[in-house]
Amino acid sequence: MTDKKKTIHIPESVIKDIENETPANYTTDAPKAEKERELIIKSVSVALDNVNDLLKKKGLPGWDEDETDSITKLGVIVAEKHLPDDIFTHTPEIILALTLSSITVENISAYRELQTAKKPAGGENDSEK
Amino acid sequence: MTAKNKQRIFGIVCGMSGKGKTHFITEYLIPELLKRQKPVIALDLMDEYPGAPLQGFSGLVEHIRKNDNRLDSGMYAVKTKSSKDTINTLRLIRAAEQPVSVIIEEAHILFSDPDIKKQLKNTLQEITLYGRHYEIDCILSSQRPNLLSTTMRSQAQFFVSFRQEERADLDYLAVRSPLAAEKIATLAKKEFFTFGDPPDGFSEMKTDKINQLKK
Repeated sequence: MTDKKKTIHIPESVIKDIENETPANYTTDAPKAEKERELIIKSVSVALDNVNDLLKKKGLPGWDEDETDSITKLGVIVAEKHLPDDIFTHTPEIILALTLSSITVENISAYRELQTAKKPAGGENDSEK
Repeated sequence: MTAKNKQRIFGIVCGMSGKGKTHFITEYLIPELLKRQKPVIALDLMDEYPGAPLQGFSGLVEHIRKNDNRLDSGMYAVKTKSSKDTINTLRLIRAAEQPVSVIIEEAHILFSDPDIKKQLKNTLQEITLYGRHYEIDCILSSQRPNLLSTTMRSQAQFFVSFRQEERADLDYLAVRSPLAAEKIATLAKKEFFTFGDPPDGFSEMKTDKINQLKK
């Protein structure tokens, strides 16, 4: 058995109150941009952790803990380049997909080679390749 | 109608991506919620829900105003394209203080931003704590139950979990149900485990058992 059909009434004053009140966290564009950036960093970080876990579970080389920060920075650059204006329309899965589309195993190898090349003279010359 | 049917519904549907959460909500939960003859409002982040599509908070308001400030029972998919859409829609639901069912998709995303979290804390906490008096049902969908607010989680009457692998989420679920945590990490696609106290009429949800999506 079902309930009696309900229609709700929403007074215009309630709608106007919400329309007219601008919550503090979206008053200006600048803080919003900062907040979006923070969210991108968090989302990319979570997404990359998941990728790393997945790679390791599959027996593939992921990256080590001391590389995480740098890889995340790389992920953030990619995400910022690819993401449209509103980060909140994206789930971590989409950010993950966008990130993965650019951060491939090759990119990571290239990144490692770049880091190795940057090391001061006298360091190892071995390339991972 | 039993007394239990009259109660507000408050549940969490969780699990990894692609395991069947949204399918479960659209195929099983929404038809049951619609039987309660209230407006069912989905905060439709990913354009996945049925019902009248409304473009953000302004679309919802436009629809309400066109209908003499009324919202009839039925399904509404509010396409929330910004955090403002989400917060304002929830504020409207809270301020209306009337029987509504609300479905919040990918709720963990909202809780990952400190300021949105603050906004949500005020609004959702009020919906959570006082919504019972106004018969405001609430279904949260999330890949990461551990990232939801403690208040929301503590008020959930029931959990429907598809496969989870993340340690923190399993640890949290283990606190709520040790049996669930043991089973959830091994669920196949479309399998789900329910625990807690689901409302009458939700026949797909056999508690403390592994269930399977039939469609």
